[in-house]
Amino acid sequence: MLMMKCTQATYLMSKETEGPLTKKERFGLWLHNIYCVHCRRFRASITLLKRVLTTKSVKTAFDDVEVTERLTESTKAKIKDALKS
Amino acid sequence: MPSPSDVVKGFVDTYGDILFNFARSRVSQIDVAEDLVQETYIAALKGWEKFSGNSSEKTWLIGILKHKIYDHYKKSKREVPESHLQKNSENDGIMDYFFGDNGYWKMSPGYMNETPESEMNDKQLAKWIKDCITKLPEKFRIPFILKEIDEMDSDIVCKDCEITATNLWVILHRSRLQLRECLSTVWNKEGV
Repeated sequence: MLMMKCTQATYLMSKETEGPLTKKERFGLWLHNIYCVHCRRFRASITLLKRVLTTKSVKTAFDDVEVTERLTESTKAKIKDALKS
Repeated sequence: MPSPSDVVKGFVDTYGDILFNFARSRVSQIDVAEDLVQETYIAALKGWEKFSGNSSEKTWLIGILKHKIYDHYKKSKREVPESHLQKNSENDGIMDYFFGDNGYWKMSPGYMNETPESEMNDKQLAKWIKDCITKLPEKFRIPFILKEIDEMDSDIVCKDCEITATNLWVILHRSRLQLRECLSTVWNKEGV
């Protein structure tokens, strides 16, 4: 049986955060991670990353947007038209 | 004494671009973003009496917009088409950067402590992460933000971004590879 490659193993570890893997996937990954310290580290760091991304400070940082595009004057006028008292 | 209608019309000039850019950060279609901004202002006018002034006008308007965006996703009944984004076709260079031709890591991903050793405070780290996410490829950014920051359900993200579940996993995976790297450079004191 061919050993799983890191490209596949890392993909499965990522996929696993979204839902359970198949038995075959889980076994292949388990076997790969016995030997691969790099992929074990990767798994720990994406767990960490997922947690960090849902902290309040990150969510707040995303509430502030840079204005890179502007509404056209006609769109603004159209919106104002829709605002009847 | 200006009428509520006049006040909210004023908000269109003051905050219109901000709301539009926020909508564009969550929704890729320009016309949909414009509609959502319009719906936000209409709702703001309806709810003007109830606005207590506890938060700033900007925060209040963005709050309404977020609800409109979420409602939009829930209503989105588009059939997910045969996607143009195949598993390995997008050569964004991300996989090649981290893995050799043989499929193994080129360099060891560094070890990251549970808590950051970095001297950055939470706010600075958050800004760093946001900048890293902004550097993600265009097609990855919105699905990633919706899923990982806004914590939306996968099926809603897939429907709105018109991608399959597999596409989403691939996008999340490649984005995480890039972000993990970006984060690790500031997480540990010595860097990795």
